[in-house]
Amino acid sequence: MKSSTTINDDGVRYGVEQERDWNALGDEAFRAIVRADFEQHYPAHLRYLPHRLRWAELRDWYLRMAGKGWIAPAWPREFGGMGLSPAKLLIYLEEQERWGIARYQDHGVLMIGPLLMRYGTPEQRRRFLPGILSCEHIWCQGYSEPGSGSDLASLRTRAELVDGPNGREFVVTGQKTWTTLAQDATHIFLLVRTDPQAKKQEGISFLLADRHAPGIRVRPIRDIAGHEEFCEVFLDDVRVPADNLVGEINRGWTIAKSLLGFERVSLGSPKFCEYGLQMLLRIARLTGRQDDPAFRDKFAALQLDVVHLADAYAGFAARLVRGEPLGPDVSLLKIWSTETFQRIAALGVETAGAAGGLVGDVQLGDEAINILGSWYKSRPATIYGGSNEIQRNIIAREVLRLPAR
Amino acid sequence: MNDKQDLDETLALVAQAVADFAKPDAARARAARDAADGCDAAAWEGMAEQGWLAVLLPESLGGTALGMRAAALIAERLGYAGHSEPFVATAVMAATALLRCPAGPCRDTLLEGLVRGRCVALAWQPPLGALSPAATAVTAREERSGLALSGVARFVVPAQAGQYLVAARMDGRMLLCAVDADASGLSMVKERTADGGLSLRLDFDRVVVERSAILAQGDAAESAVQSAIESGVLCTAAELLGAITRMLEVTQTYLCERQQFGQHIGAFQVLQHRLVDMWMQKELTRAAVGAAVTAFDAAADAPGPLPDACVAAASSAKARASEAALFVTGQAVQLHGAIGTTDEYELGVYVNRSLTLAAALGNAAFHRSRFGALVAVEER
Repeated sequence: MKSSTTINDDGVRYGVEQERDWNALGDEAFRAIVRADFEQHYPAHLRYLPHRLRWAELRDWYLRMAGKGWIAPAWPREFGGMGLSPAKLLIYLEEQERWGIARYQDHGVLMIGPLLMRYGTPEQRRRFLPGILSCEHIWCQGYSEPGSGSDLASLRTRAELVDGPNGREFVVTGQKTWTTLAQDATHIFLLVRTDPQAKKQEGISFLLADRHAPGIRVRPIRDIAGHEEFCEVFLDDVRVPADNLVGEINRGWTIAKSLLGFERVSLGSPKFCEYGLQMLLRIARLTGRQDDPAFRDKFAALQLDVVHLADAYAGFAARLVRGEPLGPDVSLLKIWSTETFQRIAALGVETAGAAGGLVGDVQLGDEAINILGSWYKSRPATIYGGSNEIQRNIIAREVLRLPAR
Repeated sequence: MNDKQDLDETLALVAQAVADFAKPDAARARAARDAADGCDAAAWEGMAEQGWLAVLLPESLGGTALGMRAAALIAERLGYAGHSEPFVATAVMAATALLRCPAGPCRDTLLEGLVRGRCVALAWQPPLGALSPAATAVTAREERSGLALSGVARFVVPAQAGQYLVAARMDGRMLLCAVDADASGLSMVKERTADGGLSLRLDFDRVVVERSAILAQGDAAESAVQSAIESGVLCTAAELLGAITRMLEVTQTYLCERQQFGQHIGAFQVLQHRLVDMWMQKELTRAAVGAAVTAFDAAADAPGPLPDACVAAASSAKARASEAALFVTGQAVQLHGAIGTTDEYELGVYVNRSLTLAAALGNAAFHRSRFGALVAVEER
């Protein structure tokens, strides 16, 4: 039975029709449908990869997801999403993780869509949601700057509202950095300073821009693993229509902060650590160390670190399913998952012995294995999404109520 | 209204009652510690009156059958309040062992007494300690008048128990029998635990036990003792969780009150982050204990040996709780400075309780290793 997309206040049908009302299915029936689809259609050579993939590699899969109406599982039906309840959404994400499906540059679905549903105008939704749902638009994030990392609110990229030939527009000048996969993006969302006189959090606005607008230049940054996942983005008198301002002017900080909560849950998923344990076990087997008591002891300790992460994650997930908001204590997941992953990756390198210094796919016995891949991946994890030191500050202040200096 | 809601509401009432009964009180805890038997007799009587000692027993045996969630909840609150009465040793371990033995006059009398506050202690550990019932260093031999027990059982708690449930081996089979504390041929050495309590080392020199005192034999005896031990492991983890929670609270308060260099020391980021690390260990312990309680309650009605999933879950909880408790203990003392090392400050009660419980029923290293052996990570 097909059920048609609900019409919304914007007067537009977004996305494609959903095959059925997913929430009306039992949990296990829904899981079986999702699992069968992934197992049947997801390309085997793209499973469980230790690094981010470029859009060209993932394009076919995600265009298929878009065509199927599965690109935005969490979005409401009226905006073209699958409209999944929290319980069904968790199942969807679990199955995605279980099958090792690579993440694309999904800021559009994860951030811009929910943002526009909450703060955007109908006109903005009509302009931007369809592109996100069809994957024609790929969004990247313009937050950090060379001088503004953890202290993001000190950002200096300027945007001045002027009368231009095409009406009111912002003129944006400055520099963004650590922008993930900006090379592949068609659009960028920006935090910019619109009132240099105001207190630092109060003069910031949230803008949507065309990544290929004149004046925007992208330079990939080569990282210590030799990959180019991050970019610098230079903005030189870039013209952005005034209609691309999200929410009120000078209120961008509040808007941006409301999006960060989600990252802390998704960054706390046990999947990276579970994957890391499997890699570690493989290294131990291939180097003949899997039964070494010293290795077994360290491995069991890490195994428990991951089990308890999963136990804690299940607790937060249960709160989401009950419809409860998550508090600042959710930072626990981000800290523990990323630091555990680092310990796992470090033990992998140690266990590999002399081969621990070889980069790329390394021959161990009959198999080739990327030993340093996890190690490299584990380093930025404690830095992005709010560094672990910032997360500890949040817990100290908001959970433990310790005094400020 | 359904059964689950009913249980949730009943548990909330129990939680409230235990919280009203057991409040952190270092003076009370020290007085109990300094009493001759290291026990607060009034508190123990109070627990019996409240019916908490019967929390795992079915209604037919005078219990409330609230299951592991209730037992863990009570244990946690006692740990939080610095109560060291033998709730886990008696109401969880001895009660579970007896419950899993076939009904009979000896078992039923012991259970009736236990519910009213008569302490019973499980005895199975060899001199260097072990969790498996099969490790017992007590052997039984058939004699004309009954069975004669010989050997040693150590780490027997509580010391004030009037009866011991002794796991013994006879011709390669396990048996569990009741032995009175004043039985002829039984001698004991009292050992002091860090928290001021007492643990017994029992020496059996042909202690004669009547056949009517045999509670269970063979596989039934083994699974009764095993269930008792593992339930004790889990509830000890819950007690440690309570102690960790209180140590964290005390330290948090101290950081907010203590001033040096003209400001509250809790404003220093180095100290803040260390308190966060303590808090994270508490949260992980809570998650691990919660998962284990769920596993135990899911298997509660299954006969026979405890499923491996429960044994693994008990190890998971106890490994985390023991390690977290010793970590939080060390950090709490350090963040307090010199006052943290004194007996007159509240923290000391929890430091010593943590040392005792972290080592009891398998420490972190033991449980890590057992967990690793039980739960394999599959290569993909």
